[in-house]
Amino acid sequence: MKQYNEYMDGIQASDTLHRRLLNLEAPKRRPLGLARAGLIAACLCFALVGTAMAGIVGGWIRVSNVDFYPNTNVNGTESSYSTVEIRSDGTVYIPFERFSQEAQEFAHSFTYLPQYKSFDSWDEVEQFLGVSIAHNPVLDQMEIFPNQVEDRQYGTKTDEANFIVQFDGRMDAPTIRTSAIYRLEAEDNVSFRLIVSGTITTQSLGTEERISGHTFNDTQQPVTETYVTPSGLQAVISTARLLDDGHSLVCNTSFQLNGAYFTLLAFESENPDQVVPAIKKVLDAYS
Amino acid sequence: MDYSNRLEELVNKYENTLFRAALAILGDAQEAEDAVQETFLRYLEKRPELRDREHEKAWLLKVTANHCKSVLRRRKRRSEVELLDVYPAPDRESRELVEAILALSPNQRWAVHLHYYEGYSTDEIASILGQRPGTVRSHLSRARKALKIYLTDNEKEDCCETIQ
Repeated sequence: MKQYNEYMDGIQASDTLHRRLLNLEAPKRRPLGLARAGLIAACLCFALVGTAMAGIVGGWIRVSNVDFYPNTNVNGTESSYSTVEIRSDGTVYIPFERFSQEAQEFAHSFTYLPQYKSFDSWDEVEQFLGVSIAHNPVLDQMEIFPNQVEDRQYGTKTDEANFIVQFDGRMDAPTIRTSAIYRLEAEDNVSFRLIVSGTITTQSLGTEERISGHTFNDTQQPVTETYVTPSGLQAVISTARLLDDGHSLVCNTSFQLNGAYFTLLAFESENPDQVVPAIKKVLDAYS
Repeated sequence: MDYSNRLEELVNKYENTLFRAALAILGDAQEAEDAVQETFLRYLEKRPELRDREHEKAWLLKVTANHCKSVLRRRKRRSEVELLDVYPAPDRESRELVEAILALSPNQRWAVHLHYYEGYSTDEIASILGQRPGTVRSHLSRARKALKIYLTDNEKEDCCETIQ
């Protein structure tokens, strides 16, 4: 791309920009106080008791911090960056030797790039892995959008599949990720895409806590909620409205179930108020 | 660390790098300047611990990429911009190249710029853009097909080796 490189070599930042950059000052951070009514929901914390967790093996999860960085761009538009820091039970994992012989051999077959395997149903995923992780009769009834499996060398699409399982990292203790995209049906003929991914760690993290999070770009301040299902599954739900229209909603949900860390991601512009109730119905159905 | 003094050093070192990258993706010099300014503002705000030169360059490019993505999202919702009118193109040959580049998708433009101009591998580009390496390779593959008349013979032949 000699011609492109020569063209780019001739491009220089202007003197005006240079002077602007040298005169920049760090923007002041707005404190995240609870006095900002209406922007932060109270974080609901439930004390865990033994009987509440008897019906489901989940593990605790909670919001530990929320950072919100709003910004006014030089052209007058608004932007922002937010993080919702989440802490969860770091002792939750599934030892690699519990997986099927076929799954272990598959993990041993890759070199330095992640390996993907595709399946038509969640039952096939669990059959291949040899462990039972999660069942959800609500999702089982939903339409699935095909995922794409990409060739690891040439980046071309080789397969379309409903469920993709990725093995990543060390051969003797890989991280296993599953993903699927559902058409989640809510009330009044409303439906939206829901991306469900589950990450299984196959060796102990060596700490008491797993630290993860939800991030948002160009949204209003996120609102967080810790939701507990009737069977005792704990989940963190973070939502934020887009700055652009103040209406469209991004919803991130995380929970742990039977050794896997799950994330549900949804975005809805026309009927955003239906997202959280629909997500909670999905959470209620997990076993 | 005195971030204000450090800022001057980073501006002198990377303002052109970031401006070229932002221009490659946005196609508008004014918006590209804004993107560079937002990147250095984010640096002053976040005060990241950058362990070496490669890390600092990758961090700055990543922030620039994220800002450009936001600009493109907003731009799509408002109206199509006549990019050809605002992209610098001093001569006819350059204009033809610019037209070919602008015909690519934003993701393909990023992949082309970071790979062929900045020399990053596909794994490194994936890390900067927050995409999977396979996705980056796919963008490069499609971009090369569209820009094949601008590739040298070597670039056409060794495309598979260079994108490991």
